[in-house]
Amino acid sequence: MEAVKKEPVLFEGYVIMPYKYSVGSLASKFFIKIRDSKVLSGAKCPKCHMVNFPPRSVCPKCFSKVEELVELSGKGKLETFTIVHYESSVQAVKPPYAIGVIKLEGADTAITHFIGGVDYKDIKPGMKLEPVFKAKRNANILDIEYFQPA
Amino acid sequence: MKPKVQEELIYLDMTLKLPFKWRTGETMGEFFRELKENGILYANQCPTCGRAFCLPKTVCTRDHTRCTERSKWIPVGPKGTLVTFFMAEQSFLLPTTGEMLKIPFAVGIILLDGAMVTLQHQLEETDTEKIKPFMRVEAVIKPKEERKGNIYDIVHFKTINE
Amino acid sequence: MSNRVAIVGIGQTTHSGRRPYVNDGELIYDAVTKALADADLSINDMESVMLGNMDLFEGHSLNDAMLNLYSGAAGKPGFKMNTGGTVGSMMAIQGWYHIASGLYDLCLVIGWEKHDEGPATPAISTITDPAVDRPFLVGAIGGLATVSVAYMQRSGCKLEHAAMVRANASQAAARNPNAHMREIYSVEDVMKARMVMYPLNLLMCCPTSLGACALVLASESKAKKISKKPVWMKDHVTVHVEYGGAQFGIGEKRWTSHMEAGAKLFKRNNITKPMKETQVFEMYDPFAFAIPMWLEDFLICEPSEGWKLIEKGALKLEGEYPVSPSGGVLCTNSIGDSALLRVAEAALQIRGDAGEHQVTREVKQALASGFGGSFWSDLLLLSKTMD
Ligand SMILES: [Zn+2]
Ligand SMILES: [Zn+2]
Repeated sequence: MEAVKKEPVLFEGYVIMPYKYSVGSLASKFFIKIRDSKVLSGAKCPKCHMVNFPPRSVCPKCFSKVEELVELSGKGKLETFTIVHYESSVQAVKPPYAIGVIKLEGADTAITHFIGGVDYKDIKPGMKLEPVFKAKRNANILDIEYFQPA
Repeated sequence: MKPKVQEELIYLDMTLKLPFKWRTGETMGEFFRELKENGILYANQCPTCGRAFCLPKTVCTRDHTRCTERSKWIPVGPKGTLVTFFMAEQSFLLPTTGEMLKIPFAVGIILLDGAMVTLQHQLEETDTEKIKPFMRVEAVIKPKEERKGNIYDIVHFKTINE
Repeated sequence: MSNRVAIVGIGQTTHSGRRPYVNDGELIYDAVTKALADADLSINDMESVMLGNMDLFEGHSLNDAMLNLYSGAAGKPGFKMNTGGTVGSMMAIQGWYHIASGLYDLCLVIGWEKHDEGPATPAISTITDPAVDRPFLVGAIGGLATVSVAYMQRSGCKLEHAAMVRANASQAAARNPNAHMREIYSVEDVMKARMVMYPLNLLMCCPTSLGACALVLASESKAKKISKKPVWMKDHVTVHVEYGGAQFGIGEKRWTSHMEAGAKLFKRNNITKPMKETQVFEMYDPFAFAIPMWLEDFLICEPSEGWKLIEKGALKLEGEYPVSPSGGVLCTNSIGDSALLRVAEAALQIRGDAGEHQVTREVKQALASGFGGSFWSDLLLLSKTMD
């Protein structure tokens, strides 16, 4: 009546899958504006006039369809931040790096992005920030290299 | 939401690569050990309903009885009967390697002699004219020095004339 | 005693193979706003919101958080679910639970898939044991091809019958403006298609589509107040099945989750002649052998009779027992909404709102099914009247 009690066999593998992700019509315009003219824009609700940024085609406040982009100055204020020290395979840049939650002038929602061009110990909530764009841009969110003190 | 002609649309290309480890559990672990060390296929038997499972199961699906008693294990196969099959004639991306499946690729649902529950594995024969439900097949097991204790220790099932 | 539940709003997007001008959320929003408009309600009226699709098919999982802006779930109860092919019908059933329990009066359920953006076959392979099953699965079609061979063997059904099923489906889909593949195919066209997975050729497999479907469900008191044409969710069954020989009838009597589902549902509702007492069946039919084989399995016709009904033309839109008059999954398969579309289309038939693909029989009761995951079944009974 001996039960089976030995070390189980280990199977090691991968799940590898390629994807495409369509950002949609409105977000395409947003990314193209960054790529072609280094301009940031938000989506303005036709009904309640809330400006969401980065732009999404549905108003978070009143569930209306949003089709209009409004240009923003790009200048903003740091709401909160953290410094990333640990490393994982999914990160876009090597740690350590700073990420902040940034609210732009004219926008009612905030974006999470990198903070750079500053000594990490000098990062403070409330500080004024502006975007730094990459020289070579590919119409994605990393065309903004980081936000730096304005 | 009509497509607008000549509108440039942005999409992102991504590849998801997730490594994982999977412990086969004590029952399948024992099956793989027997296969690797002795080249024998085992079924385990449910003490309640008497069904013999190959591949072995820790718990019987029908009556939820634990089936791990080693004395209830019986050697099955390597000969068996093909119940049904499919034949891939178009390739697909394999999630485990990121490579495309080599076609033609025939897979059979096989009832090993002595077992009461089927298993699936690759068939050697890839001519659909020559694969018939209820034909006899036999597991081709790798030589001992090549066996690693996984499902590929069975190369495939070959057609036999009986 | 549970509360009665009615479908009071139905919305679906058009379905296609590619739609790069919308993202996942925008696709959902399209269906949600249509369902709300159909119910003449706003998102604020919804007390819970449920979202269903296949994890990993678009490269993300747990996407209710990412998509709650578009689904309208922000600030509300509900959850995201994935049960494979049945996810759509499970959404309807989960919505039913929310209302039948008495917790809520109005619930929004959504199913969606954007099938063009990820690799469905590898993603679906991740549902199985990687050490023993995954190398031999080859997505969903592998499994469906094996049951097709077994069905031909035991019933006498031929490849030509599967081609007839697909040709019928193409004629139905041509009349459904929301279907994905609307080209009309003859039996000869289908027979000539490229072989994908013997015995299933390209046209005998469902396509990879994108689209979304949403339903607004209401309690009895609410439905009577707000809806002129409520469709009652009279009953539903979910059955799981085990892997192995049973579904092939090896060593024991043949037994499948569909058989169990049909037996339970019909017994509970005193249905003895399903083809008379229900007038249409929107079946989850992801491959061309599904309709004949599963009519038998659901105990709607006798074993080996399914393909004979196809031969007689009985299952066409204007036939004696129309099955999948929308064109079914064979012509439109955006998995996360496929089984919810079955419920939606069955409800449209009861309302008489199916438009060009409205069946000729008068529909008082309809069946809708879901199938998927590791071979499991949902079967729903919808009705024009409450009792
Ligand atoms: Zn608004
Ligand atoms: Zn048992």
